[in-house]
Amino acid sequence: MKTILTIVRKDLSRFFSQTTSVMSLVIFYIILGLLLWYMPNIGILDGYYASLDSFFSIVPVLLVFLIPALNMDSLSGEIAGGTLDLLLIRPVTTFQIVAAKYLSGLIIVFIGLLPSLGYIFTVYYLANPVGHIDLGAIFGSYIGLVFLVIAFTAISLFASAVVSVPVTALMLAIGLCAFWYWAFYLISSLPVFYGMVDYWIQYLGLDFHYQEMGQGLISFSSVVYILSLTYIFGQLTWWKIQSVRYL
Amino acid sequence: MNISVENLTKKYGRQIAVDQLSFTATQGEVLGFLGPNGAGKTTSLRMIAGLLKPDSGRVLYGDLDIWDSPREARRFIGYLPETNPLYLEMYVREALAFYGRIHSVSKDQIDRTIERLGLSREAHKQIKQLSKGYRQRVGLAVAILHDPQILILDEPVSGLDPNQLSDIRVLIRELAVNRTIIFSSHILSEVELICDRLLVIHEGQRKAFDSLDTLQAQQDGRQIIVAEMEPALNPAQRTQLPSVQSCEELGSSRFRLIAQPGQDMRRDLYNWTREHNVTLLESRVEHTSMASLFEKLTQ
Repeated sequence: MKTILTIVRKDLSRFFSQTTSVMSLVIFYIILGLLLWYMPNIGILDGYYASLDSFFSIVPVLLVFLIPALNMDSLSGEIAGGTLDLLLIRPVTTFQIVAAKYLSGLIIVFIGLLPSLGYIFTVYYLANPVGHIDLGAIFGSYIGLVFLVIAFTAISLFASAVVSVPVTALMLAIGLCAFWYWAFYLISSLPVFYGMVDYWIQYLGLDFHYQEMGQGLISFSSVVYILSLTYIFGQLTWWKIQSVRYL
Repeated sequence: MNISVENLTKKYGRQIAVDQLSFTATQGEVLGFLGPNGAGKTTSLRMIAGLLKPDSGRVLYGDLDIWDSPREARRFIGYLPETNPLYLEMYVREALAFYGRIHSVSKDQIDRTIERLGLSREAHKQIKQLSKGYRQRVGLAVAILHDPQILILDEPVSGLDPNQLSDIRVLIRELAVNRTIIFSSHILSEVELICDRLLVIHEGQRKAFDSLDTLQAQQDGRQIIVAEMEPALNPAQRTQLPSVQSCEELGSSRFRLIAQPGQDMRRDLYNWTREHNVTLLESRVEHTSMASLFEKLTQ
């Protein structure tokens, strides 16, 4: 555990010492804020209800881009730069490396999402009467968001492990995240599946589980589904790094 | 701790990168690893460092097979790759502290390593601000930080200026006292100065493995003397010299004399110059140069 934390600490300090990476978080915030407050029709100030629904519907779209962007360099940079070799020859297991990279990715994204809690307070005080918002739905949606981040980070880390060029890793990760979020819904709407297996195909998509959680329904099967997806991508990442070691 | 390499083989597709390489390096020795580009040096070093799994053969640190018990073996190894990978945006001390924590190295030892490599003034700089020579020192500091018994240095002196070269040379000799060092380089004169024994590989195969003196003796066979004489020898005299097979004029009354096989020319040359009233201003025995030795072995 000490080794994992040592690597996490190094990654966080590297991340926050780079202007470009901190800027990407700031830009994420600017875009999110603009969409949330000023976007015609869906912006909070245009709406009649004091709710964060529009926030929770926009955020997954942004996360499909943000999480791959924050993680693209995570392993690909170390593989391309050769610094991974210097870790592999030390008494560090492949699991420790993957776990540390995953953990630092999660922490960075969560730090990025932290300021969004401010929106809750804003909307809380904007409501008339004050505090008249559905906190239960917000709580459920946040849990959904956390699970979405867990899955997207694992997918992005995998992309960063298999491609040693950060920008290509970014593209692959965006593709995979977008696929897992939207593709199953789109596939299920094909007439062939209509009324037969369309529910189960939708069930494979992350949006299905995210929306379910947003309605306050945190089912055991959704949790198992997302954790399994995370585990599969984590395992694939482990294999990839292990194969670098035994190349 | 000794390193034993036994029949190490690595293939990439149909191409054999390293072919049945065997050798041993003993504690206290600096083993020079020489070979032309693409000879399989880096591939061999990566296998010896435990970064690349050989197709067959094994590597032992002492009695420890590095592929049977990799975690134990990794405690003993320090490795400086050819590309000297570093986290450029980290500060020197920060980067060393990171590797130090992985090995549970004390803060004192990090300070000592910084001092030993002459990095005290650079310790609070970002690595990307450092010149190539200083980056190389940081790379070396990362490799020796945890006091490894075995050091594998892949081209550690490339890109250094003469002063830095001599500093690193002294450091490597110091480190070798109680360690086993494998050192690869293209700079032949460095290999000559630093290494106790040489391993020459070409096309993945071992071409020579011995001390430099022995290798030179084996390869030469013949004595070469460069002599300056006054007055300069005339063409007739050049053919009369005893035990000398050929005499080549180097200009300004200097000549390179190559002995007949198995002959020692020194005494004959001295006597001949006295008999012919020629003053021998200078004479020195020349060995086959590292460059020509290298050329011969890797042809």
